[in-house]
Amino acid sequence: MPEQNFVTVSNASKTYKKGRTVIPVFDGLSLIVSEGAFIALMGPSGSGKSTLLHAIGGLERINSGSVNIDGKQIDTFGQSKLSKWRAKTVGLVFQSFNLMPSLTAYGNIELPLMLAPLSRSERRRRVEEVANLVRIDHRLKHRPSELSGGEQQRVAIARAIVADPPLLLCDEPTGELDRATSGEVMNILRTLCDELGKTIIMVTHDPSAAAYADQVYHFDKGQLSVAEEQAA
Amino acid sequence: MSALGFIGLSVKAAWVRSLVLMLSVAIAYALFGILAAFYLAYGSTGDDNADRMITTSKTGFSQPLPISHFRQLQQIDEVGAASIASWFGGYYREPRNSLHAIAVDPVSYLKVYGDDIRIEPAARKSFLSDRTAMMVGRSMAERFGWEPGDQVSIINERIARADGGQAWSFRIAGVFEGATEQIDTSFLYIHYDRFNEARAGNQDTLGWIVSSPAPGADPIQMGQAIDAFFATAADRTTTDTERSFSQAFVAQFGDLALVTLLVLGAALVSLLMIVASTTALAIKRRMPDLGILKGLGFSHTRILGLVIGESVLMVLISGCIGLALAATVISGSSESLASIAPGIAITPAICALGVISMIALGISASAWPAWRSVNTETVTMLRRN
Repeated sequence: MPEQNFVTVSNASKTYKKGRTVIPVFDGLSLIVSEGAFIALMGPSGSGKSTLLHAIGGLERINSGSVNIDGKQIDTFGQSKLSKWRAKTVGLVFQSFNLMPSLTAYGNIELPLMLAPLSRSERRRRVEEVANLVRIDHRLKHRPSELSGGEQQRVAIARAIVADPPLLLCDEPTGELDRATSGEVMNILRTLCDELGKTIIMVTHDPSAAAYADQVYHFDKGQLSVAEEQAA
Repeated sequence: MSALGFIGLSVKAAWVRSLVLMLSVAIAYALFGILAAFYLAYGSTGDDNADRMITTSKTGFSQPLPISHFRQLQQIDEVGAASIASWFGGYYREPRNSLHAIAVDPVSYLKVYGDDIRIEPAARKSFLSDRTAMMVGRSMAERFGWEPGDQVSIINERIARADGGQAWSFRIAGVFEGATEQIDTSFLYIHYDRFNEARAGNQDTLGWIVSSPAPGADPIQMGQAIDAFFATAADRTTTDTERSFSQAFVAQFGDLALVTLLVLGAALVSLLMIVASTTALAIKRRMPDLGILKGLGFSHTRILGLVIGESVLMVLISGCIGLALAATVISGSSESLASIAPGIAITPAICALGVISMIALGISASAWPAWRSVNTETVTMLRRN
């Protein structure tokens, strides 16, 4: 297990406002994830695990506390800086894939590279490389509507890693997949961690998916507890 | 993929909506083009000259002036050349073929308008020497297929002949051209003397006097001098620029420009509002896609650029198609509009105004939803997926 802390969430609090009602999500929460680690966050719906994931990815802001990623305190970043940081540092994988329906698998995977000053041939090389890695290279010309759920999620994973970010945030990546396909997707994530050294934080309800992680955290009533540490 | 390619794909993805939207914009700008061209051309006779002034009865344009005014006016120091004209009108064969026919004193009229009208010397001579001759503008001659030498009967129910007839027969002495394309040639000219002698009433009266200043004289001062000269006469006068006269002349058929402006303007504004709201709705529906881009690290500026760029590009493409359509329509109907809107065309100024308004429309239609999209939490946008 690598030693260096990559993600450090300290004393973080988050509330939502619904009308005049303030709904607490978590309060005083802390989490440390080492570089190259693969952790799973489990817990009931509404426990705040996805909100924590979004805060780590800079998609949502916490009310107090700090979120430090690879030595950078991102909760102090402005929007523009946060966008640039996210493009370089974070790959996102969602339950509902969130692919753009108008683009082919190739176009979807290529999207993050629009932000990098790369030649067309270099972009093509990178897209084909990651597509090959997640075994979706034979479906690059197809649109999301022509792909199965497993294929769509593999496209989403390829898109998440094409710009080579060190951190992957996965929100229920197997939530819409059957058991066999879930296994394939989890194997890919495990490989990305083991062979490419990606740090992966995954939110899941599925114990069999969580079993692929190095460490599983349980979320309940805004509190986080280490459930188990397991061999990959 | 370039930003332009990305925009193209977005349009392609919702091609029905995009097509309808672009069609709406194209129609809106076709209307805009026609309206603007008409508005600019309306009231301009094309041969308006800054030096020429028109003198009419102070009572109103339709009130005749005595012919003696013409002789007296020529004695005013500031007046250089002057001529007379009276509206004749009438129609050819059927009432729908109404004619813009003017009775003029040929010698003096050709002297005043000599720089604007081009006619063969032989035809000119033929016109001057024959009181039953008429001189026809190219546009009108082509409209009715008239040739020099043709004998044409004009029916005039408004101006009765002394012998009770309504038909006036004329020989076409020649066809004149405008010195420039802007000069209206949908007119014909007949001899005032013959017209004056043959009509049943209003003898020795005229419709208006056109005059140009003497060398060194100012046309406005000339106009003031003319009106001052007739200030104590029984038939007082008002002298104005040729352009003002042209507009007042056309206005007797109804204020076409105002009606056009109101009707088409209302239609155009309504259409543009629909376009703006449709564009805004289209962007709102693309919130999940924009959320994906934000999630991937696209900056607010870049997303604003994509959204507004897409809107501006669509409006620009379809708007230009609309202006091209307007140019085609105007080109096809310029002859029939020549009498009220001579030289009507989609001018560079209209194109420039059109393009500026297209950009403004594209931005205004997309700015608010684009601004909302960048200020909505990425997660909220993704949840709409």
